[in-house]
Amino acid sequence: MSGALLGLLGFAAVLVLAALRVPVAVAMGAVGAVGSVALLGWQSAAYLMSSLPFQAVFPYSLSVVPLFIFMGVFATHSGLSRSLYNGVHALLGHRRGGIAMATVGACAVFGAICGSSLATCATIGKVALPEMQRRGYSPRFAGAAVAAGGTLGVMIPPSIILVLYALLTEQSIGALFAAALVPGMIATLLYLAAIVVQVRLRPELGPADRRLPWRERARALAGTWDALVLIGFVIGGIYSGIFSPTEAAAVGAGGALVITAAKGRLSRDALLAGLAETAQLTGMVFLILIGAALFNLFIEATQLPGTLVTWVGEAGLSSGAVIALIIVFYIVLGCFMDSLSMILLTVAPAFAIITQLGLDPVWFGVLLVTVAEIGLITPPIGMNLFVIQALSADLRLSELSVGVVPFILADIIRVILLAAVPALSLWLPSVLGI
Amino acid sequence: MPGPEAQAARRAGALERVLRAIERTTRILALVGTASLVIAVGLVAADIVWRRLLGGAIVGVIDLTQLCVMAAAFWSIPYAFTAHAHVTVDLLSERLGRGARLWLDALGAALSIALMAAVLYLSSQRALEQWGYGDVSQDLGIPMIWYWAFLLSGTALAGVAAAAAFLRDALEYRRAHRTA
Repeated sequence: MSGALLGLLGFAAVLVLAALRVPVAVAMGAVGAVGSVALLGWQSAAYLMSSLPFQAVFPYSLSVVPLFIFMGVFATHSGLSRSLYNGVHALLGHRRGGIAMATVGACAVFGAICGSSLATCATIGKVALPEMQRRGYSPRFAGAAVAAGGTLGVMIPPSIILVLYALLTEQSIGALFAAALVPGMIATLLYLAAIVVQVRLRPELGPADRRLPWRERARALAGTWDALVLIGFVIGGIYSGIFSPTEAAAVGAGGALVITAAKGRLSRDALLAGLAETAQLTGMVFLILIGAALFNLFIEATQLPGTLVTWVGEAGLSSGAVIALIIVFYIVLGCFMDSLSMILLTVAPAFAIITQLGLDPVWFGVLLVTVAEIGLITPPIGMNLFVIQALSADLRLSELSVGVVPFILADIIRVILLAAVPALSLWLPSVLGI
Repeated sequence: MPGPEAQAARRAGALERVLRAIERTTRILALVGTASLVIAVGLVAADIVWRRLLGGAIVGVIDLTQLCVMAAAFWSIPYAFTAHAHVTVDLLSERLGRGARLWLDALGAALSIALMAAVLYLSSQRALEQWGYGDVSQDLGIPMIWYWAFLLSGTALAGVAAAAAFLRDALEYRRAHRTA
């Protein structure tokens, strides 16, 4: 049996084990370990595997991961989401569908503090969903707006997935963060457009709220200063080159902790809850990293990436056709797998193909995260849909799945735009010289 | 001599106490590990201020930050097992009954324990090797075995935590079954 075929069987084995409810990280690690021993022999495989879990955690550059998680968790606990929501709501709430637009806007800004889509979705959802229900919004429309808006958490820098992609493919974190900013803004605008179109066609989905006087608007906007300062320090610090990504993450984590304390929300219980939540996410991410390291050892041993590159070359496909196939592959896989596991499982062969075709790895990273993000709102495994379902128990998953269709269409338009015009991603890094 | 039901209840009680002890231990270690990130935050912040104001750098910030991250990562993995925070795909299992799901969880727990045992065994070989050579960190000369200690202790406890998480589910299933 050829190595490449063994590699493909390895992928299938991970997917089967994951479908059998084995933790995805364990499935990757177990298949990787068994496969490596089978291909390399016990002696060599054991020697290589003995240092992989250590190397998967030890590098200093990986410090950004728990620190950004820490920052996101404490930003969530600090109540920044409420002030951000109030600020955007004061500007847009009086329009038809305005609260849904405010929700997407608040998600976009909160995404610049929190690198996780689930946390963004849950945090803003807790504030926005009751508000939209009170104002007579369609529950399906309201839930879909929050689920879609939540995906901006991973798109708008800082993003945990972009950090991991950068580290695994040896790209600059700063360049990826810069490259994701314009696509993140495009995503926000397209989601807002999806809302506008829906409420224009069916005004009953999102009735207009009362228009606030300018003084109240100014007060609500002034209430967002702490969030904006935090974002300015973290993202501005990285873009301007004042901070390295690790330093920005540390400053952000410290800032989030200080803001939580300043708002009087850092009781002993809140601190312990925040640390426990950070631990759950940190443990989850690092076990996936260890599992992916073991699995990638096996994949390298099968020489699957090289074989795929040869296949693609022999098939005579254009780079556009290859990208289209990769996008379709990830959208389908994203329906069944969470985005982090999916990217770490498949990034090695995908990256080999991309570099062989001479495509830009930074541009591909942004495209990959964009596509993976669609998986968060596509059934049956759309994690953001589950979050919304947990927040509003009377909303069925089937209803929510219909509600997100206009937002998925907006995502597809964005993917086509980003794939067709790489400058949308690459312009800002080149201007900043990152 | 107590009857079979009383003996079963006593065994269940003993198991409950053991599970609680494991759950408490994983939580405490995870809290200590992630709290160490606060130290890393303080060090990095102090380094930035020092660099900006005095133009120098605090020696050893990287070594200490790495130590904190090793603690946070490896002491959080066991807690993620007991808190059921590791990513699983529930597509198939949602259609199954709770009993069948328990069998799938047994498979997941068995593979998790096996993987953690393999990682522990293999890593301990490399850790002992580095200890034997007296390897130290770059700036502060911290013995590398300290870094490995977080990996070894966290991995060992993660295996125990995976077993505990499964036993907790089995215990709850049995209780629910009896009540029904």
